[in-house]
Amino acid sequence: MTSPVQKTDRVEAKMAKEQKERILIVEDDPQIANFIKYLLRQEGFPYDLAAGLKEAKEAMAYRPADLILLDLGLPDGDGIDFLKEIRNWSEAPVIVISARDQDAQKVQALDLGADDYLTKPFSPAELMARIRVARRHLHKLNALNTKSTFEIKELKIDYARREVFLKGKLIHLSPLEYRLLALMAQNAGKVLTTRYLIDQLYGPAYGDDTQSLRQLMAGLRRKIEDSSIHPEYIKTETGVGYRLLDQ
Amino acid sequence: MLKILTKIQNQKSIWCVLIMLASAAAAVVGGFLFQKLGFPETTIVLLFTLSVLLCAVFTKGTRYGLISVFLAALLFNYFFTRPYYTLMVSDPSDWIIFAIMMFTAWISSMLVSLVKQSALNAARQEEAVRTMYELACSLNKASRKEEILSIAKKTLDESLHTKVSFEKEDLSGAEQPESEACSDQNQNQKKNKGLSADSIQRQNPAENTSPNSKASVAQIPLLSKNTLLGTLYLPENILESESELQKEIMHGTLENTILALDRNLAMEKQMKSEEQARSEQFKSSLLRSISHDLRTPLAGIEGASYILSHSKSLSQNELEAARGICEEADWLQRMVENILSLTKVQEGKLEIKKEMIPADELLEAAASKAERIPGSQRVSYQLSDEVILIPCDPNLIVQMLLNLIANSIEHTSKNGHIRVSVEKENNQAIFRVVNDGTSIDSEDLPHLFETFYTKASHKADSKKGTGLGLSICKAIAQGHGGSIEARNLPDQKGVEFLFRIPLKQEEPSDSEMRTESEEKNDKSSSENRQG
Repeated sequence: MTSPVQKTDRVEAKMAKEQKERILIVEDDPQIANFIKYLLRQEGFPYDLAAGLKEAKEAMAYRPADLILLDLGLPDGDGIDFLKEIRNWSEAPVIVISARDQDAQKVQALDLGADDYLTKPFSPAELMARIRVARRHLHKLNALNTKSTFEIKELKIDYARREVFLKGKLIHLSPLEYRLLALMAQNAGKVLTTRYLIDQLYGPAYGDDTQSLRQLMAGLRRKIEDSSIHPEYIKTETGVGYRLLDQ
Repeated sequence: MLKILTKIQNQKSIWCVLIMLASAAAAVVGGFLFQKLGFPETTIVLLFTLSVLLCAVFTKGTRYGLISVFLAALLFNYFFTRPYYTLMVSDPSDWIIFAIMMFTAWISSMLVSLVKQSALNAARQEEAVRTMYELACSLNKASRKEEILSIAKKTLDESLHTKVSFEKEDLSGAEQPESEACSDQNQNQKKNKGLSADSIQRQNPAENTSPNSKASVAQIPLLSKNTLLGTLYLPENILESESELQKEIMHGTLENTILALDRNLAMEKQMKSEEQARSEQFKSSLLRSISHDLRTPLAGIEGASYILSHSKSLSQNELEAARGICEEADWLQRMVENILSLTKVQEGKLEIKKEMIPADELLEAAASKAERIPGSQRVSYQLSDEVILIPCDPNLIVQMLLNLIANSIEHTSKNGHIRVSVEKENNQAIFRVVNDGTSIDSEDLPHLFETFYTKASHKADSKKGTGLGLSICKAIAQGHGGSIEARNLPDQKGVEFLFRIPLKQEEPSDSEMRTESEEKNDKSSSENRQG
């Protein structure tokens, strides 16, 4: 069960040695900070550590990081304020770290431009997986994603012809389902909040009408997944939103 | 007023006779005086009438008044009608004087005694009302059972002019602490003292239970809604000699006492339950803060042990130990989450923010969380053809499913199989977690969802049975207006946990938003139903 993770870890580590993104850890709990530091050191990432909002701002001003791990509950303020501030000038992916009962803050952070989130307590595998996703996103941003098709595993989307193929076979999607899948594909790997999806698909007036979206999503998943319970493509992030797996 | 009246009522006959004779004598002496002064005869007649009236006022009953009427007539005849000093009557007009005098005296003495009687009654009524009022006032102020009973005892002692005693009933039974039992003993001793003043021999409190053997003591139970609050003991002869009014006072006193005891009981109960609620709240907030603080270090332990279990420089044994730490830490984390939910439930704080969530997502989340439990590969999941939208808090339903799945994994063998399914039935979502493990003992079955219940028979394999998970499941199901049950499958084929969550009546606007696939699914499922 763990061996494929290890293998990809090693591949990523090799990649890290070439790229060496600098990661800023904003975390006040020394235990968690130590744990993250240890993992990053093992994977060969350079990092800076900030235990509070002020330190984090200083660190970003002194040496801007390529990727930020941001704890929301900080002793000298809310991590969300920091997120808002740096989004004015930095596109660095932000992975939010939050406690289990902070769903609302998590969603708020994602809507404000955070790329991903982790819920405490998290396993090393989860952390490294999120960092990998964020890095890929970073590279894609640099390479500018202008492809006319999207392909992952056995799912293929032809943007120009608005067609979707699964295992080489054309599958029939309603126009709304197609728009949803295309939206997810363009943000592959990233968590999209239900609110963001509703805004994009139905318009902001629909606000909190999550029921329609969930119904639409359930229908779409039944068409593209073999099993909605062990999905290969679209994963539910309970209480937050959905993510199209990009690997 | 009452005092004078009752004094008159209670004076001895000899006094009455003396008063009667004295008033008659005074009339005779006055008569001679009037005669000497040359007043007419009629004044003497009036004087005798007055003496009869006075006699009637100051003696008890009507008897002495009547006697004094005749006495007055005789004396008047003897001393003041010609021929003097004989009982002879020479002048026929004297007969008329006698008759009028006797009638006047008789009627007025009757009237006087009537007035006297009704004044006495009125005074007694007033006294009774005052007694009741004072009793009610002092009972209102009393806060303890002993106080109430002693006040009642004092009132009864005064109004019945005897000694009574109360015995309070020990209502809390075996739960009562020892100190209470002691005070009960004191009560008994007090009662013994009180009764011995009435020269009733009752040394042993145990005899209280059979007071019938002592004819001289009557017992009256103090009942409220069929609950025995206490017993009143009083000399039996009192009961017989009592007047109606005294009986009324006694009943009124007892009624008031029962009311006061009742109120006292209710107050004590309320205080007790308030105290209990407070300590419950304290316990659960303590539990919550501890659990909260456990989260972070547990995450640290899990993380560190994970790193260790993937280290390349450790031996196989060491790696296994590290994996063990990792698994246990994960189990502890689930436990902490359960405790946190439980404290929320116990404080009535389990706020359920309902959203319409497809059953697909619930099972998906449960399955992905269950992956961390060793043995989770033995679990299979089954969705219904139709997408079921369930109004629920997804986190809670997932926690419930996870608890049931973890529970089933623990109680099945290594080759066992667990099936999780969901379907729609009668406007309800029905989740089933079925395992093919050993059946649950029938004596455990009804207690399965009780807090901290593990097993009647503590078996060695119930290592991780906190009994917490299932009670939380129950609370969550009930919080959603649903229910949960467990049953053994026939022929020892396993155990089924089943919970129902009611679905909202589908509103017409929902169907507009439905996608084609949904309609297709609906069609296919309805076809299935037909087939």
